[in-house]
Amino acid sequence: MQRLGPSLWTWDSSWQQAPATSLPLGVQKILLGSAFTSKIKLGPGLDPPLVLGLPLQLKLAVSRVVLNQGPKKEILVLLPLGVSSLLNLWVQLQGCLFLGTFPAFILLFYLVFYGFLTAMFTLTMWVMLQTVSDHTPKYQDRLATPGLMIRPKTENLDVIVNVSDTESWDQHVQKLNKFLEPYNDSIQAQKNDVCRPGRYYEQPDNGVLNYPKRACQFNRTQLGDCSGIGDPTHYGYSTGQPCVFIKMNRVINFYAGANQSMNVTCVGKRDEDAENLGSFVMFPANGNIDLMYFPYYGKKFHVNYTQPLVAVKFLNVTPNVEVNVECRINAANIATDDERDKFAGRVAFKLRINKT
Amino acid sequence: ARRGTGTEDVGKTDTGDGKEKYRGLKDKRLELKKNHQKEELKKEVDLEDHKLSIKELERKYGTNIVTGLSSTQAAELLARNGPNALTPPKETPEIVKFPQADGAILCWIAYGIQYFNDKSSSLDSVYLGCVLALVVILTGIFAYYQEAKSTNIMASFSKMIPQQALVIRDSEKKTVPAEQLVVGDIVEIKGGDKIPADIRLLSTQGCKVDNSSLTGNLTPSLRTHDNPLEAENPWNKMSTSPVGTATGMVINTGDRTIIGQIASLASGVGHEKTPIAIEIEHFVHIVAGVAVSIGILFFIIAVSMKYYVLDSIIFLIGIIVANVPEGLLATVTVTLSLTAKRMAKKNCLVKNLEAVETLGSTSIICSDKTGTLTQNRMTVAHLWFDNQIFVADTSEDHSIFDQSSGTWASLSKIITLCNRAEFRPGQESVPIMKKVVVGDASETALLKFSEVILGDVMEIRKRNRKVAEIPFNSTNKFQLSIHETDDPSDKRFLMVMKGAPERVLEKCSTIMVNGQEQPLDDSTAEAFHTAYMELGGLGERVLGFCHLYLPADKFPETYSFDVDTVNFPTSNLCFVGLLSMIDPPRSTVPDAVTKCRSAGIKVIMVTGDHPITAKAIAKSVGIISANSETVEDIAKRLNIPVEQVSKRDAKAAVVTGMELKDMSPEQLDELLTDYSEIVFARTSPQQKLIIVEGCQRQDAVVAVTGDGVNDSPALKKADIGIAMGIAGSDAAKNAADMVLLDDNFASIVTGVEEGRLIFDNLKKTIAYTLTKNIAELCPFLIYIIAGLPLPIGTITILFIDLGTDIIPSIALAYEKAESDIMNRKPRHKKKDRLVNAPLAIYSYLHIGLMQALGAFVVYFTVYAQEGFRPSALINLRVEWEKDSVNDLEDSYGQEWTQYQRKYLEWTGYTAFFVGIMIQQIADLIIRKTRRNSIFQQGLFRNKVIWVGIASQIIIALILSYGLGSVSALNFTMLRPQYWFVAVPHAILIWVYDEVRKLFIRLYPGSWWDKNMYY
Repeated sequence: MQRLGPSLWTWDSSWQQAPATSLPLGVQKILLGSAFTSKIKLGPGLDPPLVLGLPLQLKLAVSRVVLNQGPKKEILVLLPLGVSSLLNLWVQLQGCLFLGTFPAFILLFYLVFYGFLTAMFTLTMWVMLQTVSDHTPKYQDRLATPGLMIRPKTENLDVIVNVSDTESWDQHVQKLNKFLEPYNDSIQAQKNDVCRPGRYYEQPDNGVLNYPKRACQFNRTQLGDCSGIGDPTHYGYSTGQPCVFIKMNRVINFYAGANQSMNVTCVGKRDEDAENLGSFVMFPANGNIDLMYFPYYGKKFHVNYTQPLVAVKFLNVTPNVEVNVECRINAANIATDDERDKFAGRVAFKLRINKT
Repeated sequence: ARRGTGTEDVGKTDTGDGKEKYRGLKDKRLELKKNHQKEELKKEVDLEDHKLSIKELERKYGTNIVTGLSSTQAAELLARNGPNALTPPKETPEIVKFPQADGAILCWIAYGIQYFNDKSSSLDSVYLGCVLALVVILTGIFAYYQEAKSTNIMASFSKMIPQQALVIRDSEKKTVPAEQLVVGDIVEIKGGDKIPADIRLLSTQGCKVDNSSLTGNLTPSLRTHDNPLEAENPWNKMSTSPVGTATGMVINTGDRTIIGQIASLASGVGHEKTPIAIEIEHFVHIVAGVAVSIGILFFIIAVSMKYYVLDSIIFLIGIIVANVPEGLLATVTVTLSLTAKRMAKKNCLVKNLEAVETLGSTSIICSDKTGTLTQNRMTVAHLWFDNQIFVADTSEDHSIFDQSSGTWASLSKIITLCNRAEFRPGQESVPIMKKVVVGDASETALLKFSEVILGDVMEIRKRNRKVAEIPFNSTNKFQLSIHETDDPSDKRFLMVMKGAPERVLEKCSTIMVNGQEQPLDDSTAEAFHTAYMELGGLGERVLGFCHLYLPADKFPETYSFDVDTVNFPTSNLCFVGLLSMIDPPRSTVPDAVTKCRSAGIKVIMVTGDHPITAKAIAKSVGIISANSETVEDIAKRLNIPVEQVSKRDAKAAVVTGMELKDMSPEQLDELLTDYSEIVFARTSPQQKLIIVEGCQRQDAVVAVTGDGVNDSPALKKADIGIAMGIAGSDAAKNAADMVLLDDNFASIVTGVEEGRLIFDNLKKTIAYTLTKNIAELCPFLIYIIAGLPLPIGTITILFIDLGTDIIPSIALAYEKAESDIMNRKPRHKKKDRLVNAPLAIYSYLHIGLMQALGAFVVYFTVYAQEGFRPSALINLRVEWEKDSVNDLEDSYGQEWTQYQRKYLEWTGYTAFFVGIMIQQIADLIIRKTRRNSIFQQGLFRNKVIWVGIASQIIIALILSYGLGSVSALNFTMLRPQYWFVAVPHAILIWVYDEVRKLFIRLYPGSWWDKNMYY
């Protein structure tokens, strides 16, 4: 490996007068200073004389460090073998080479520095992710009470249907079609098991990872009038008797109902709402949710899991009035009276049927 | 009438100057006002009253010197002209201004936009705005309180008893408060009284006046002069009359007195911005620059990312506000006041908080001589008798000179007897040197000198009863008294005389040597002259003493001496000796001057005193060092004319006011740069101003010390005015930024040290504070770009800025200096900035980024362990924040309601907060030093740092576990292990900074040093 000598080279004394700052600095150009010119000693591998007027260039490549002048002439080539040659270069830069402003060097520094920071960050993140398992989150304390949600999903949880205006409900219908597609009986039969109702469908690992886990069938036909299969009324939206689907949020390893049956009930929020709401029917009957759909084992293991739904078909809502509906789940281990979380075990939405 | 010469000319140069200087100023009105003021001064100083006859005066002022004014007349005049009191200068404290106020306004604008956009928008920005406004108000109150406190201390100095004046009104003598005096009043003044207003003397009885607070001179001015400032008559308000009684007519009251005019000149001089205020302004510019450029950059990014423009504007405002270091204003104020407190303990009372640092960057001290460098009391320094010079040191063993000589016996008798000064009664227990004396400065010195050496002077005087006396006056230049002797067998009278040596010698025909009278021949006269010149050359005031025993046959015991006809001989006396007095320098001053020198501070003496005296004192205190010479010295040594001396050879210069008057500003600049040791003598108040301005043109930070009213304009003009607490006049104290409670110049050195330390430590504090700014800003930027759920909320940021970080950043003020700060040059006002590029870059782009990354690790950990892996968080923002989305899916397929997410978000805030807090501990430790390793500095030397760290941790614990259930604060109870997630990054910060410091120490002057040392 070639080394730069402790002192570099000198040639024409006019160099000494060369104004250090006037050098046009491109990306990687350096200017030799005159501080050490009294000791004329050429290091090995140096190839003077240099041509005056042409700037010197220092190129820092991965494979080698090249000092050259002009487009072609290489004066010094250092192989960056190990750290020592770079350090050597560093020392040279400090001592013998006078650097004008040296943006490349600053760039290099920040490149290295930020590279290092990124590496450090990545490392700590990697270490952190090692503490996180693939199938169950480490903590679930926030999800003690699963929330309830409705479909069709709308911007402000309001289902507004202009019976005469097809476009107003068509988007809901499209969404529902898409949402219910996995529940098609054919798909369910193909992918999921028929389970025994009324009890949890547990698939413990027993020391050995046991996956993918099977899911229980929830057939679209179970939704009765709201299944939308061969339904000319489009889930009742075209007739002003819309279906709204209630679903409970998935929570891993949550044994909903604590081994007792549970169901969803809906009421008008206030008295006038209850009046305006009129009658409704629920599918499956009574708004039941079966225990066999629990526990949920997570997206990764429980691949084809289809969560149970409850469809509510509102039969005679007073038209042209906004009705506040609240549905809640009645289950032994799901509190529905959380002050802060308005969606814990319940869901409130607005229903409005506009008829002319 | 002719105008007062000196003042007029000075006034002229001044006006010319003013135009030169302020040409660049945009505010022409200011210029006009200033010039007008100076013009006015020039005009009004031009009094003629001292040249008018009494009749003319009576007519002019409508009064009668016998009956005085009538009460009704007086009341009328009082109503018209106002009370005879100086208008106190209006002082508006200049509070360190931060962009906080703007921040608050921006917040409210942001809220306005949000509200306009969505009526139910959160009130966060309103809270933030209120907090910012509150911080501004609170710190303002704090600064005001601090200022008020020092004003209170000041007030306790000035005597609260109102001054009384004896005035003739309605033909009756009445005592009225001096405030009620009006023009035309006839007042009577007794010895020891303060002159209540400018008066024209009508009659006097052996009365002298001490104008020292006006001219800066100790010597009572006795010359007749056209310049009313120096004329014997009239007398000026505030002067004290030490002896005698006098009657005079009031010719000017209140602000129209000469004192009043100087005081108003002082208040007319604009206060320069303090260096620290400039630095903080610069810092604000940097922070604002960073804020606005990042803000605009992200505004553009946000717009191009298809955010709504309105949202983007809110982001823009948010970024700008996030960059405001909320706690810094409070921190800087507290830090400064802590130092001010520390300085007050060391007898430097700081009136203006910002001035705490100014002393540290001071590069030139213009010091007044009298009272600051010297003790402001005449002391006998040398004696000459028996052809020998003796040193008189009254403070220590006083038997160092030969007291056995007969000459001394005679001399001591003259010193004792030919003296009108007396101790004020009732001071038996007070040490002699501290007793109050009624009499002028020289006589006081002589009295004390003889009291120390001979014992009870009063007793001696009683034994040698005085039979006649001619008091000192400026034409005779001698003082004479005739006494009976204490020897009962000797019936002769003893005539003793003292006065200007040459005058005294003229009257002598013999000289006493070793107790024997000898004829005065040429050789003895020669010896006298040599001694006289030598003592005079030391800058001392020399007095000659002679006596004569009047022959008993011609002057029997019953002889009646008449001092008017002088029926006794006043020639052919016997010369006894010389005595010289000086106002000696304070003992601590030479050491202090040396310290200033080594600290790179130039000490310039500016005095109204005589050049020779000034130079002598300058030499003795080291302002002119022992081996440096003035041009005149070189000329004298080489025996060549002054013009031939190369100016480069001389290091020192003594410049008189007359020379200064003829100098152009360029010449003054040249003078100030060419000579390292300069003494200005015989200067007027206006010239002091010119000198200070000259120094300021050299980019120097100028400190001016002074005690007299005449110093107050310069005190005000200076970057830092330092007044004397004991000797200083109220006007000087009002104009000053700092008051030395012990009148000791050496206290300035302490001040300089504290000032430099506070500058260094403020750097550290700011670096510490700026660092976390990036850690607080990055989350917001990432939130905009990557769409993560917001990692840290505004309220949480406020809890860092105004909660956990406050005590630690104040703790840095207690950090000891890294190296001997008194051995380095004062910082260059324009080059050594408080916040320089390396500081900003290192804080923002190095440590700040590391901190942000560390805090993000904690944030991601919390989210990942709760179910949201980092990859799932990206671009989640919109869904995450929607209130209607209550089944947001996480990485595991679980679904979250809005509130569950919100709670997780708060946990994220808390985690990010804890992450920053933990790393701020590391940041605090690394900021202890800028160059040395922490281990060199000592990890535990500054205990307050540990108090700071403890406070940080305790506040964070309280916030998380104590207030975690208060949802409005957005804190949650964080799992204990999350407190340690950022520790590796904290360690990294420490290690990285140690490496930085190591390279700085290893490669001084290198690229690294230049870019990484802040």
